[in-house]
Amino acid sequence: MACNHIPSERRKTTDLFLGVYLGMEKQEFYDHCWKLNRDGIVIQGPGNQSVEYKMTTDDSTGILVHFYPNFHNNRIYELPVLYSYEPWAPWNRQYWSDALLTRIVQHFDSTYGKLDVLNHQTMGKVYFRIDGRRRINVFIKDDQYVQAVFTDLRVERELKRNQNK
Amino acid sequence: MKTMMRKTIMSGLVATALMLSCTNLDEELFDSVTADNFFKTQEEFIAALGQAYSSLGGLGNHSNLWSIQEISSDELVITTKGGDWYDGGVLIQLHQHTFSPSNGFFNNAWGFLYGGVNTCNRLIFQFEQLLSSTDPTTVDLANKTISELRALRALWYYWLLDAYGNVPLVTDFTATGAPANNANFAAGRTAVYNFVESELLDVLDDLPTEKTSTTYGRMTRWAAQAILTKLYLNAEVYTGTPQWNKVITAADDIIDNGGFSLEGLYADNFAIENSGSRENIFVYPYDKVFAQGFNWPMMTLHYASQGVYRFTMQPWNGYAVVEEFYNSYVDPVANPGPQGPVWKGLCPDVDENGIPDDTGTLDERLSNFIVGPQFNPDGSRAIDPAAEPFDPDGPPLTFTPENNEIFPDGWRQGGARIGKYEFEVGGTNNMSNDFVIFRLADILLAKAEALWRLNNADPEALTLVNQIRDRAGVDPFTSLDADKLLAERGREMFAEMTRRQDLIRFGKWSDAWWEKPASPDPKYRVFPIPQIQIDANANLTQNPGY
Repeated sequence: MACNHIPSERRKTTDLFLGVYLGMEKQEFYDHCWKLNRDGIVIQGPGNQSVEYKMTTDDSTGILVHFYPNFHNNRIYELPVLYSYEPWAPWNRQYWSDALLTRIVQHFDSTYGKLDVLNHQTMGKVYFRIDGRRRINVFIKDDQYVQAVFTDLRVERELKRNQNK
Repeated sequence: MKTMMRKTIMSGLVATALMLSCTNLDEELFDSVTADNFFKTQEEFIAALGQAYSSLGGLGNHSNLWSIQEISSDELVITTKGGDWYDGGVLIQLHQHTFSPSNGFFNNAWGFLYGGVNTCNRLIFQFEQLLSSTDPTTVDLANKTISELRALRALWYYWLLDAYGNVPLVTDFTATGAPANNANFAAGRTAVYNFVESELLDVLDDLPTEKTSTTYGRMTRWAAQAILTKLYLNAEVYTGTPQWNKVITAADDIIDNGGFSLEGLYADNFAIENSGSRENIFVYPYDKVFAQGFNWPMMTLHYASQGVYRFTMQPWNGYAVVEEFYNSYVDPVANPGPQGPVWKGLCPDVDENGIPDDTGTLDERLSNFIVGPQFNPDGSRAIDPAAEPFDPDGPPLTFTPENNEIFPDGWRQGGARIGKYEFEVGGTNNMSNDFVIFRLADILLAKAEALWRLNNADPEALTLVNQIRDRAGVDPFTSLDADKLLAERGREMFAEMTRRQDLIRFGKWSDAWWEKPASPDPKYRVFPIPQIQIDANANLTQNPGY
């Protein structure tokens, strides 16, 4: 899949994809996305994860990727990402999320390092990986979508601590 | 308090379903319910239904059904502003009716609509497993739930019928083959029409009639009758056979028995806290935390509007109102009423009728728009630091009704913006206003039109239209004609996904409007089936002409 734009020599545990990283300032994110938009790499997409770009698989099937970060103190601390096969339809079962999950996990394995898997009580298979402050979770959202979530553990810990006060 | 309760319960219902998308895996999540491990009590039935309703959450955002309906009409436009908002030209294609099956918006809407169908099919399949239960209460609950889901599925198919026309009817969750639509477009569209009608008529008497906190945002008899009203209103377009008397019958059931009434203030139907509206028949209850996705302030407002509303996120400066549509409110000839100062921006000093440019009709529905100079909370002018040299108003942010061009250098401040739903000062990129899918004003106007189609001099038709005009604070009409009916629907129903079908029904869809030449090719009266879907299913036949 052609979406890994981060050269391996400068990959950090804050890097996500398309030049977006944990801790990125809000305005920098906006400016970066406008540039990606002007360059024709992303467009305004649907839903809450409203930046859209398209990955292509080896067999040229499009995978739509939708993302939009959550900010804390004006910086990205969490990036939920939705993936769906472009030709998804109720009758195109080969493009349902269970098949897509395998492709996405393979892609993540090669991009971020091999993910581990656990059987979550209600979510089913959840793939995960932790590198430094970055946690990645990947799981099936519904028949159509695979959800990935990049989280800054340092901020999450702070938020949870504040919540418990 | 009652209002808060309504909102809380329905938001909770949707939120339960939306926990699927929650990113915190510590939460208890219910993504794989089965009939035997979950549906036992009435509360559990309702919670499962939340999955079906949460599918509606795509209504309030970009690149989806609402977008293709609105941008392709004469209401809204997204101009290209330098490098911004070109997006491969798909937005211009939509507005100018030069769209093709490869336009990604059509596939997004298709996935949204069939995603809704699929969830209904899955839940119907699951609830059908309970029909063999020996517990009569369980069977009764299952039957009622299935009826509600069939009504909701009919809504999805009504939208598919309206947008794409001839679509495959898929009702069995376990079916595995690639379905076909009808090779004959007209026959296929009629089949979908017949399915929607028969499904709704079949379940109508099983649906709840009460309006309580537990039925808010759900398929009631009145929501189903609203779908039928709109289905019959457009029956001639869909099937070739008008059904004006059926429009009246379905509308009358809502008007006479539903207990709805027009809100005193038009804008109250779209307020942040609009769950108490007596007019709204069916809504999707968005919530800025638990049911996200309604992001109109992001879609329409200028980057510098962030300071005006103290939003936590910066808007994207996309959707703007077509000037002629805005003018249909303030034009004293087309819309007679009390005259007063209205914003006309860069118009000439006087128009061809000698009316000063700052005077126009004070229609209360001008609350649909945000127009004119924009001010920060401290009273200072909002400033666009990146204003282009050719922007006539310069850096101070002023939404002018005028747009200069659709491409390539649309004014960054051009066009009134969508103000229909109240924006929360200090809000995020998500709104808590409930998205109105059907409301009484639409039903009253549908009945008026049906009466008028049957008899152009019907006095009740005129009375109904004037009821709507009276609420808007404008003068009553003394007679009706097609242009008046269409324009009144436009003013009342702006941005509520009705304009496209209204223009088609009144024979105006092919007309020229701003930055759109006449588009006489009849193929554009339906959207194309997405090419990506045709490529993935050889049994699908593309709509004629595409």
